[in-house]
Amino acid sequence: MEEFEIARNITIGQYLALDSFVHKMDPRYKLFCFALIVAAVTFSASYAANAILIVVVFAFVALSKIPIRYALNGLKPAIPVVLFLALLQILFYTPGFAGGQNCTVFFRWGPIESNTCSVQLAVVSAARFVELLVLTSLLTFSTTVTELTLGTEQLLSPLSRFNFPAHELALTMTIALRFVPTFAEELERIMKSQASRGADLGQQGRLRFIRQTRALLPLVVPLFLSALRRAEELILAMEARCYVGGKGRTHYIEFQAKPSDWIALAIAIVFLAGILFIPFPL
Amino acid sequence: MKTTTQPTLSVRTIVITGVLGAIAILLGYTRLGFIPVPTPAGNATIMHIPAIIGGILEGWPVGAAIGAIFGIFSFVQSTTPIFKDPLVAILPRLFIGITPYFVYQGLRRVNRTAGFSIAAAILILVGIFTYNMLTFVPKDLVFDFGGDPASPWIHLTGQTALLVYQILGASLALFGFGVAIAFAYFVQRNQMELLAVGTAAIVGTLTNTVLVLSMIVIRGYLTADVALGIGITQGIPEIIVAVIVTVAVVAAWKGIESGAGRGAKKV
Repeated sequence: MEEFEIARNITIGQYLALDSFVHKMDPRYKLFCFALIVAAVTFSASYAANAILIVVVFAFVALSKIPIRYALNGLKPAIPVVLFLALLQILFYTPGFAGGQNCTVFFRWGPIESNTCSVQLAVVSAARFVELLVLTSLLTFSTTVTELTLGTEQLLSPLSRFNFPAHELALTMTIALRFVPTFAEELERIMKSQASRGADLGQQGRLRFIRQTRALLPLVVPLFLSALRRAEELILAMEARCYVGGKGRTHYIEFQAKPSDWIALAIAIVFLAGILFIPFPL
Repeated sequence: MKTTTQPTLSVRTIVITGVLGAIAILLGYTRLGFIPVPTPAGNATIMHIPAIIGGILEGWPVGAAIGAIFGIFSFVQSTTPIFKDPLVAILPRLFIGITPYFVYQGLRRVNRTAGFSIAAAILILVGIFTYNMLTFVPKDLVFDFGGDPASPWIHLTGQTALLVYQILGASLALFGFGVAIAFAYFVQRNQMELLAVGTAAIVGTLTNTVLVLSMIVIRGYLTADVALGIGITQGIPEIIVAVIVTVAVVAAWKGIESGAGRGAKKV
């Protein structure tokens, strides 16, 4: 029966209730800092910058009091992929990466070329992956889903002056997260009922993927249809209650920024500027 | 559908986006979203299909927003290094639901004459291609594929190159011929709706594959050759899978709508 257990294995948000500076930060400021540091990670291609970033990211983990093995949760299953990708990158050099001019060639054999630039690409990609993995799990471990959506909404709300639907998008995200467990239960029910009618839900083998896809249709089509039907019901319910969007709407939770939040944000901005504009030698 | 010009999104847009986004997330959590196929990656994903369906049913803003939910989710959940990059995971996904909408809207309004004309145009193009392929026999044909020009992985000359050239050309011509015939078949049976949905699914999946791989190349994770190889081997099964699922879901939903007499929308 294990293959039918879907709803139980789905955990959205993985909040760890701890008492730390990172947990207590105003979600708006936390999200903004998170975005700034992700930008710093995304646009840094040098050894030195990535070394600094690794240190900074693990300092955050220490600051948030989250156990290090939690923060590195997703790393273990990814190691083979990381290694394989690194091998590909070392052996097949992409011209133009990391300056690309002063690459010292280690060896060449036919199409295989390995040089300092390709090694740098492999190392930086792997470091980037670890940094982003730790950062995203840090955010989800230290912030509840409600805080995340509300924080995003309020961060984007200045844009609503330019007709950007900040409140509406936050509501969309809330609806999406709200319905995942419901649909998981629905899917479980559909799977059980199709299996009880004798449907074969097992694997068909890779070469018969068209048959495999067609075998999935008795699950996927009812799932989509029931979702769309639920959507129609929800639309009717919301319109019957005269839902008019975000204008003039107040919130049950009001965030209050502390001086420490301002300081954290300022540090994050200076940090991003430093990573982007300091010409690291390596 | 008044979704585009309103200052705030309509209730309909918000709810449909949320619900289909939930399905995209759910497909990512279960094995259901990954169909085993005979390619190096091992799986063809159907996680992008809610975005295509949303775009077809409710317009491009819905498609774009579902694509964004799928992208954010794949960025947060991913344990593959390449997809831990927001520029690869999120940005290209915004367009998955946008292109199918325009293809669908463009094709569904086509009448029989125009439909046959499109099929004929495809056929003529295939004909020109085949004629050129048969008459143009290059003397010193050289095939270089992969690696850099000086030392490619595959290097063919003379008879072998000619043979490869003919096989490649013939399969492309056959594929184009098949597309034209399928197009004409659906036009003949007056199933423009099905044709439009199927084509939209193809275009939506292509958007995903092409944009994600281009971004991977731009960001310098893989070389263009490797990405092209992945694109061809991974793209074709994903297109087939996407067409099957999208057509089944949209046809079923539209059928319900007209069959039960619920809305004014008719198939």
